[in-house]
Amino acid sequence: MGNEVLIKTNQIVKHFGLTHALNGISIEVRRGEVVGLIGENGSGKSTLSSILSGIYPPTSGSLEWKGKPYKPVDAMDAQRHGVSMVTQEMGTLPGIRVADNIFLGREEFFARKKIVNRKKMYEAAREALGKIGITDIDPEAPIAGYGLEDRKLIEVVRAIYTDPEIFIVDETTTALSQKGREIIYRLIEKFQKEDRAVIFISHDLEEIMQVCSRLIVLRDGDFIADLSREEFEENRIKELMVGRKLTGDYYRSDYDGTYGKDVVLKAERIYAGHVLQDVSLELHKGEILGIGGLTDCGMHDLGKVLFGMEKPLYGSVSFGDGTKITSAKQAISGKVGYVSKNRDQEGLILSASILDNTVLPSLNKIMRTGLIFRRDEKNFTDKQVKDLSIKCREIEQDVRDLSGGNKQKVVFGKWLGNESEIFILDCPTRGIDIGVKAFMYQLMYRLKKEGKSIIMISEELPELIGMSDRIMIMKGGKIQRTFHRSEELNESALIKEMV
Amino acid sequence: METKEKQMKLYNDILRKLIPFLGLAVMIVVFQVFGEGKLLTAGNMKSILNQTVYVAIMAFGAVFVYSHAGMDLSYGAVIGFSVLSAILAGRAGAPLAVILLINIASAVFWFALNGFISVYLRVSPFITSLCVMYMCRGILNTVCAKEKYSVPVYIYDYDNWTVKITVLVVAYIVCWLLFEKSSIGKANRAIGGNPLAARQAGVNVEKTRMIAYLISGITVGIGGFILMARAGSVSTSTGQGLEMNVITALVLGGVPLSGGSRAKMVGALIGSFSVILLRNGLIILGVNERVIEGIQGLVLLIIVFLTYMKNKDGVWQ
Repeated sequence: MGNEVLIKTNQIVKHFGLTHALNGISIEVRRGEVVGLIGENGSGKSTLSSILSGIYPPTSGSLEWKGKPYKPVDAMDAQRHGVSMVTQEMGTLPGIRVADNIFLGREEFFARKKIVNRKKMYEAAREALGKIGITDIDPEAPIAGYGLEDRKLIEVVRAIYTDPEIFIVDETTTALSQKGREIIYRLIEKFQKEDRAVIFISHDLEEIMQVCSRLIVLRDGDFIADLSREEFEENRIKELMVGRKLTGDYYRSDYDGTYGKDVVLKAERIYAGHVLQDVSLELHKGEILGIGGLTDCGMHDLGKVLFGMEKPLYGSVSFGDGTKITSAKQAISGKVGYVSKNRDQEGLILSASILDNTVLPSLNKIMRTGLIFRRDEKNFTDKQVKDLSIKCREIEQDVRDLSGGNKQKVVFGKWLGNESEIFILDCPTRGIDIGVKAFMYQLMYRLKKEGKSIIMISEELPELIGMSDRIMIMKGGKIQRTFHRSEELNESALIKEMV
Repeated sequence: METKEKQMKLYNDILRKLIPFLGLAVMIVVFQVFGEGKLLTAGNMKSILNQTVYVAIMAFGAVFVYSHAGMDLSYGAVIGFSVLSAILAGRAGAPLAVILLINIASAVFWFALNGFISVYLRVSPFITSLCVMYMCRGILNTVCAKEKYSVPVYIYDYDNWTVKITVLVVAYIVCWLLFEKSSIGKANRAIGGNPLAARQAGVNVEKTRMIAYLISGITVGIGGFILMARAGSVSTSTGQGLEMNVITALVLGGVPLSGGSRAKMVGALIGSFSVILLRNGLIILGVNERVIEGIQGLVLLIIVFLTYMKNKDGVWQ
């Protein structure tokens, strides 16, 4: 541990509006280290790495780079210092060539008098790709011709081209197959050997324990633990992440996996948007049907199609009795509820009150003699606020001021209030804290027991495995494979079908 | 600390709801004091009320359109067209009921067009209504180029307080019920707040917006009848600038131009009094009428600016 400290944070705090993403994090990374950042969704690990790589500034606290104050103004500036990151979300620009993506913003390397020498640029790109063992990507080809995995690798090349001293890998391997992962692992090894450093972020505990020399655990924006390699132990790390002894009641504990016989919702040979191809599925009474895959595999579009928000080009969605669903309005009157992945953009009216949001789908139900009375609206909302224990000042409060978890509860309240029988949940636990998450899982299980049916679309494999009766894995707009609930089911089996 | 913040928020909420009323009260006091008592004379109050009636009735309908974020500039020109059509019908010998019907139908026609183009053809409502305004003005300018047309004499009889107050009160109650106590108003506000979320909650966005335009058309037509009975004739300038009065009324009444849940029907009523009082008070203070338009523009801009400033957390509403 006597090596030079490359980067150090002092009491980093980051607020996004009312959300406290980081509450005073102090860590350091030395030469020759591979530091794993681990924590549940919303624990702050991506926020921390984004601050290190200059994507946004901290609200308070300071950074040091090799002992000197370090205030990157943007990602390019961080890269000039020697910090480079591959992000979780897609970071390549469509519509331009591979080489242009690699050298985006750095065209001056190949320019004389403002004119870029493209030949030189393609040559350099080819060399850079070859360096990490990629020979089947043509730098002159448009990026659109490459799949998610290749695009991710192109991003990696882009990130390390400047020979950074710290390489941050944020959830990159999730999108990669074994071949791609090997490339990343080799790179990490190389960095370590050359006495540079890597910060590695992954959901895959097994992977992170293999790759890293040290682990930093975050939870709800707090620093929880710093573990050296000898202290790695799976259950201990899990407990630190979740913040309490793991008992069976986080996800459902049974491996029963049975559900009713009746089909309540049916999709037949759906083609839609740019992705969905020939997707058919049946949702049964009392079933939790998980749908997983990479983020652009079409599962989010499928959710919208099932709810009648998006019209399929071919094929149909219908209720168990054969009635076709052609609009959201119709789906809702057939007792379907939809929780959007983009809660703030689609699921809620942020500038309206909890009350206004909650009653909106149920106005016809609340109406008496053609009029909507304040008292009825209040009773209706009060019931949801109480049942879901939504933490708020008053029900007239703007939804904008609520925390992520409470916002999500309001979305659920809309559909519970409307007495929905079928729930289409797109990433229902995205960006909410662990306590509310547990609450949501219990709620879903209770709904199942009451004979309600749930489609849960998720990018998080543990919750798919933990909650679903059946799991459909999608890839490239098609259903790749269906798994049934079982104790043996693990993440790598699902990942294999995803990429 | 946190409870203090919450308290502040609560006060802010209450203050926001009270500001339109306070603004009106302050204006009354200021103009009464500096206008040497000329403001609150019976004659002047009648004159204020006269001008307020048709602006307010139009503003009631405008709340529906503005609450779903449908910026509309055609109010003044369409009311002019409505008055023109009704007067021409009256001169051709149409009975009262038909005249009134033509008032309403001609306004509804333009607003249906306005709505259809904005909603279904997806042209920005701002541009659509600007074009509708020019089309109506063009017609008025052409037809009234040589002469003013006057109403049949018996129409003057309807320029009386019973009619005006009754129409104002009934229009308010109906619009209030539709906007505050029925799903039409709630759905329009939801669309103004977030059209995607509204659609996902089962709101038929197109139909709801279209209904808002039709309601607006009806209120403009009713306002047109009142204006016609009051003015007695139609000329190229009939209704000119009224769109600005309607917009100013909404803003002074606390209705956000960007729509959403803050829109309230009472705001249209209070705001209409405020805008007319503002113009009237300035006249009393001896301000030139042309300058008043400039002042009105400035006041509107400042208030819109201030309401946007309040949400400096980056989220506009």
